[in-house]
Amino acid sequence: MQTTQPSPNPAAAKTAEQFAGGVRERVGKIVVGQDVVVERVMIALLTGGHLLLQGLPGLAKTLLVNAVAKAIHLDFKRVQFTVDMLPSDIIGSEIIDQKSGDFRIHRGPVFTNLLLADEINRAAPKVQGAMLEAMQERKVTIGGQNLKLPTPFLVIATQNPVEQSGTFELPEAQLDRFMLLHRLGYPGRDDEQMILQRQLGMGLRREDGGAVPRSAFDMIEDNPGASVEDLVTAMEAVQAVHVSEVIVKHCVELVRRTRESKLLDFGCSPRAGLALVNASRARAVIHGRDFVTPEDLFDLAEDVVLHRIRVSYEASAAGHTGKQVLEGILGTLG
Amino acid sequence: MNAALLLTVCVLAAVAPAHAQQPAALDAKVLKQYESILTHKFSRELTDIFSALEKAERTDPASQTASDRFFYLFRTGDWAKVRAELGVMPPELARKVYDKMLGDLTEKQKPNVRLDDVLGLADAVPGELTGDNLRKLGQLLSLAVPANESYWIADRLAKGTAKLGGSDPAKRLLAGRVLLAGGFKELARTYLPSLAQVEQLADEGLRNELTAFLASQQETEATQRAQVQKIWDENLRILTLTKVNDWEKTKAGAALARVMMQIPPGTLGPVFADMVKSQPESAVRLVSGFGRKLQSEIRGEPAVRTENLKAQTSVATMLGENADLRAQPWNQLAQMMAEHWLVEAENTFTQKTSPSSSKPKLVAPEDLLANAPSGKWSAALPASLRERLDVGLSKIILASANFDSAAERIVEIGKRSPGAGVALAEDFLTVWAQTHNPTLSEAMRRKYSLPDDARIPVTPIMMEKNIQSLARMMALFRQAGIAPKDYQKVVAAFDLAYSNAEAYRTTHIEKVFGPLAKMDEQLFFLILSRMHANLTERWRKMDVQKAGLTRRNETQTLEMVRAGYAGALQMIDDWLTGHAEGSRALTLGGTLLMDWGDFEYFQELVSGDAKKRMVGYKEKNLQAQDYFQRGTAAYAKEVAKLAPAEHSIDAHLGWFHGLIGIGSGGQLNLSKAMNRAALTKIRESLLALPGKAAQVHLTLFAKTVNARLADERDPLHEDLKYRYLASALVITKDNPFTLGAEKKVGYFDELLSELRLQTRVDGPNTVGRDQEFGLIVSLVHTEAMGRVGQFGQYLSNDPGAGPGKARRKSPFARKMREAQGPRDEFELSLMESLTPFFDVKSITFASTDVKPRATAQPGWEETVLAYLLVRPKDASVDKVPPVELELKFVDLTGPVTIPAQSAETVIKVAANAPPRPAQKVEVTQTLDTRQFGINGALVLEVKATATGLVPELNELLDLAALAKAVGIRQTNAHEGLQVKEINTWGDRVAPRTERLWTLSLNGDVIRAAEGPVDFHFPLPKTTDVVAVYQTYKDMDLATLPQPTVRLGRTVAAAAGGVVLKPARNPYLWPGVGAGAALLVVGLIYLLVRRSADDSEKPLRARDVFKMPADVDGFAVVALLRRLHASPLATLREPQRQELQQDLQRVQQTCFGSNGSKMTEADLRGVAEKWLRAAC
Repeated sequence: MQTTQPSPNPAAAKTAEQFAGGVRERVGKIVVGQDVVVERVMIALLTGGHLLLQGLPGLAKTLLVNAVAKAIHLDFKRVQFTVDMLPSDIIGSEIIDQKSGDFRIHRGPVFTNLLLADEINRAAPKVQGAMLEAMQERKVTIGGQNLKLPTPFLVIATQNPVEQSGTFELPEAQLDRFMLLHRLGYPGRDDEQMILQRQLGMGLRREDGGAVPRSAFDMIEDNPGASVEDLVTAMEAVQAVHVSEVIVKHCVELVRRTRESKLLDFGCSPRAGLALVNASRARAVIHGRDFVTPEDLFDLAEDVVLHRIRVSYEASAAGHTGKQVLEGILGTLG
Repeated sequence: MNAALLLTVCVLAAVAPAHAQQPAALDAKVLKQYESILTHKFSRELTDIFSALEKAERTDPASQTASDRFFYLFRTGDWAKVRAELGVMPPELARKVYDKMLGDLTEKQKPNVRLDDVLGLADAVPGELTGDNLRKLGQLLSLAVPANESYWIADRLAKGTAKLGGSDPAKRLLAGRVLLAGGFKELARTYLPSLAQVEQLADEGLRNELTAFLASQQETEATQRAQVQKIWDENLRILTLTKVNDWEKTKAGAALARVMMQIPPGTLGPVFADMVKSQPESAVRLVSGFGRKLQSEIRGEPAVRTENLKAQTSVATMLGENADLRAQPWNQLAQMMAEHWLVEAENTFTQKTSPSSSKPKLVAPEDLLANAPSGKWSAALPASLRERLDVGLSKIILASANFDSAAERIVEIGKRSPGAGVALAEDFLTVWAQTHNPTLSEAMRRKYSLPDDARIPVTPIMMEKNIQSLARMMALFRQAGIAPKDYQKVVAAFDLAYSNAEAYRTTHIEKVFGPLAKMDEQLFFLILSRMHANLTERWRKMDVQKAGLTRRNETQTLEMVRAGYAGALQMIDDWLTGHAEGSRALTLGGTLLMDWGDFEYFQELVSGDAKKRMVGYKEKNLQAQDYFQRGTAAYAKEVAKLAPAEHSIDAHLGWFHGLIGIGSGGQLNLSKAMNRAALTKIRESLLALPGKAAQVHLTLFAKTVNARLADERDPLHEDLKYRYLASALVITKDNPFTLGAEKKVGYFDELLSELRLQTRVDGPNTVGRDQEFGLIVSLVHTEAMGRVGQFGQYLSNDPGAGPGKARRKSPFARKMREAQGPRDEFELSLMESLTPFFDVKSITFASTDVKPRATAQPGWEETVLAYLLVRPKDASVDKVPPVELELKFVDLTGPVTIPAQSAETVIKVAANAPPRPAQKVEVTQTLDTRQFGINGALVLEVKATATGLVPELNELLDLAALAKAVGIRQTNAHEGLQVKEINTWGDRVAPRTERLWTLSLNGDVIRAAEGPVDFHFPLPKTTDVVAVYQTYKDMDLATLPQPTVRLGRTVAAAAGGVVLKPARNPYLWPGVGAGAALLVVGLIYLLVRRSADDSEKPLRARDVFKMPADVDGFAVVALLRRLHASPLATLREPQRQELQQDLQRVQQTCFGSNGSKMTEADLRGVAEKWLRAAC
């Protein structure tokens, strides 16, 4: 294993910015009106963290992740989580080869660079546990054999905030493993209009003598705009982003205040602070900076912090929401 | 229920006094009800009890029948009332009911009665308890009270009940009888009268029963004693009678012998002494009879045999005290008894040391030791027998695991009799190994369901102790000159002393077996062979390490195995220093090195660098060659001294196996290619043997090869078959014994004569230094071969695509390349061959249904397999090296793999090489203007396809004009040349290739222009190129009729602001944005005004925005952000822009890595400035 030491490298930073810009541009051609989500995906990619997207169906989550994977020449797999799934459906299992009579390892969909775990809250806790363990360890054990997952390995999970019956809400400890939880909203009016207009002009795709209407998936270009090496270079650039002491201090302060707040049952773990700083570094690179600003912190705070805190019963009864509490804390930071 | 009970009590209260006096005549109806009780079963199961309770609760007591009431009382265990009810019934009926009650209860396995119930039942009897009642009560008592809890009964009976126990003798007798029937015999004894009193009982049956019980213990013993005494007296008398014949006397002696040990020693001693002195003949008969008894019971139960041994010792002692054992016939008797002891001792030792898992039938070593011949008995024995006794005694001491004592005795015996000493020393090792064997016995494994290989882990401390113990004993034996000669036992003992997971250390080996230099050759090789086997099969396994509790991780295990190999080789080297070059040692060294090499490469412990693994592998292989060569040379020197029967080809065979990849433990390394040079060396070394030995050994080798070929039980691996035979033929050449192999290889070679692998350059053989060019790899074959060859199988990883059954992957047969299937195998082979000379950019395989192409040679065809895009590594490359494909065939002995190799192809690498062939070149240029209006980005995407290799961009298009007109900022060539498919069906084999470039253009020139600017696409340099020009119209791609598109400001836009022609969006969105901003401002204005109207104290910026308490970069940035975003801040647009600039400046200086830090005063100044402006 090679360890990359962070060292400021303007050329690398420039390449990283171009890489991020290139990917955003490519994804932007396919997905309309989800710039922030694209940015969050990029942050997750650049930091090696995992991303949980919470949003209603039909918000182009799969398309987005697919487009990102194709843009960077990453191996991409999607798993639709259901209640009857078993851990082996995710991580794989040892199966007997009927031809040879030997056991061989069947690798599950987790062996990929980019995994879209669709509706993760539909699976039973043991499946979620297996998945989240793989995310944390970046390796799985099948038949007593430890198998490393490919690098990079990024999980983008989604969960649907409606239709909660028959779902297993992810416990806080497991939510904590997601670096970011981004809540997807509907696209704006203009964006939505553009989505429809694009679809109208797509026409048909002819294949096997028949035809099917073209979808946005058909617009995803096969030739990737960036390679994994480019991604690694960008990741190196992220590691070299300067974080001033003031930022670190305020970051710690933010995390501590969530713990001290009387409106919260519990606050953030130190992992939240780490995630916030790392994500801010990635955001800085995406925005062409080689240093983190408070703006990065403010922008990412909701996605990093909100799923790691729980509003107390009394505060909830008094009408406080997690977002309000966080805004309050952020307001007092400056 | 209370009401019901109350009523029942009332009824009984009314009934009881009457019963006390005389049973009143019952009403016929009630009598009938009572009689009906006999038709029901008495049961006290829980369900019945619950039903009774429920029924009583819901039934009016007045309407309850007598039978219901009785059953209710019975089930609820109210025995007093049951007795009262029985008292109401006519006596005969009451007796019947009572008997039935007991009978029904005893019929059940679980009658659900407790001690109280049994005693209550006993008390409820109408009249007296009969013998049958007592038996049944006893039976119930045994079910109610566990046998080991009789104290509960004792307590209750001590107090007494209405019918049982207490102080009344009659009741005590009844209690005793119940207890006796219940099996509480000890307790019964305390309640029953004495034997004398029992004999006064009138009831004869009862008297006999009780007498039998009370008398059994005391009387049996007395009777037996009397019986024995009677037998002794009678037979003793027979022996003294003169008129009795010999047969009778012998019989009497035998009878005496049988009872002899039951005679008290006080009686036996004087009688025996008197007999020896006064009637020696009788004594001889007695002892002989005893001897016969011993012989007849030698296979009897161990307990009997142990008693016999004890008796024998007593007899021998008595004889020694009363007779001269050196004289006959006593000496013979003493010897006979000593022999008997020896038989028992040998039996015990054999059984103790045998690995049989059945329960041994032996006399315990301790008993044997206690009854061994000693004193006068031992002294009277002849010397030879005493020696044997010594050995036997030593064995018994060994069997009792008293190793130190046994060793001393063995050494002593060894001094007198070295042969016996060596044998004992070997036995010692057997027993020692057995007692130190950590493998659990089968019985233990079965008992605890443990796996077959379950062992007790030998910890390092245990191991050291074992080694110390073994070394001490071995040193003792060596010093005494009785070192064990059975080296198998010696090495087995050493192996058991060691932890299963620890490689042998030379220090330990020397400690146990002495210095290597002085070690016996056989022992040395035995140790090394064991070490070799353990290195191959045991120590490298992580599960063995885990089971051995070594806590070694994989890296440490790897290091230990390496150290093991190095240690073994060092032992060989040390050995060779002190001895002449021995073929055996050198061959073993070579084999060890070969195995080590394979281990270095294939080891799965640490996933290290593949290159390092390869280096380790090659290094060990080279060293192994040296050892093998020296080994065969040493053998050549040894062979002259050997008898023909001792001739061996082990050295040559070991070398041969090492060369072709057959590991010593049965593992196969299938990646080893034929090394003709080394094989020829083996042949030469065989031919160099002196005299006739050369031909003899060559023939021996050929016979071995032939036998291997004919081995149907363990056929050669399909991947190895051809290589094995062809390699063997290099050694044996035309030896008649390898005729079979020769024919087979000839057949395989014939196959190859109809088939050859070919590489050829696509286009001219002169290629550019940095130029990519194509290599076509194909199979050229006869038409017949084309029909049967199924060459598509090498183009797929599907295991079912090949001929015959899919190959079974053997865990022992490995290749140095990890391939999923034949195509991967082929690809890796190509890469291995070509990468030293070329950068292989891509390998494109033909489809699996590829059809053969006709060639210029009639009857021959070509099947194209792959197209490789390569680039020479440097100018020194002058050839395409041979590449290899493993062809799979099936012959009569099953599948076989034959490697086909291509010939070298000469190429020339030149600076100015001709362009690579390309036809049907199509270039599509797409000008992406979608971001132009927003940020000025102008991207030209050039996509070119061709049959052949697409040329470089500057060879394709004239970019000079474009560079001059607009300027090219960056050219991204993406992945370069891409081979999409191979066209194997056209006039010529050619790839379909594609290239993509993205040119970032400098759009500023066009943006800066006052009016619209025509953008000219770069034109192809040659006319045979088909060009297509495209751009975006809105968001749609549109094909242009000509290579020009108009961009830049329009006249209309100039008046309206920054509106650009190619994309209307840039005009639209700022407009929309401005509108939205106006809307927001308007809304804010309305809100502010409305709030001003509604509230007496309108919220003002000065109320919200304050100077931060701690002024640092963060706080100031946060303040400026809030000011910038807040509608309360009264800032004009220029001010907002300035605020934004200040924000950026503060961020840059405070948080940037290279920025100069702002002081607090500076920051405070910035904050004050904007607070003033905004508030």
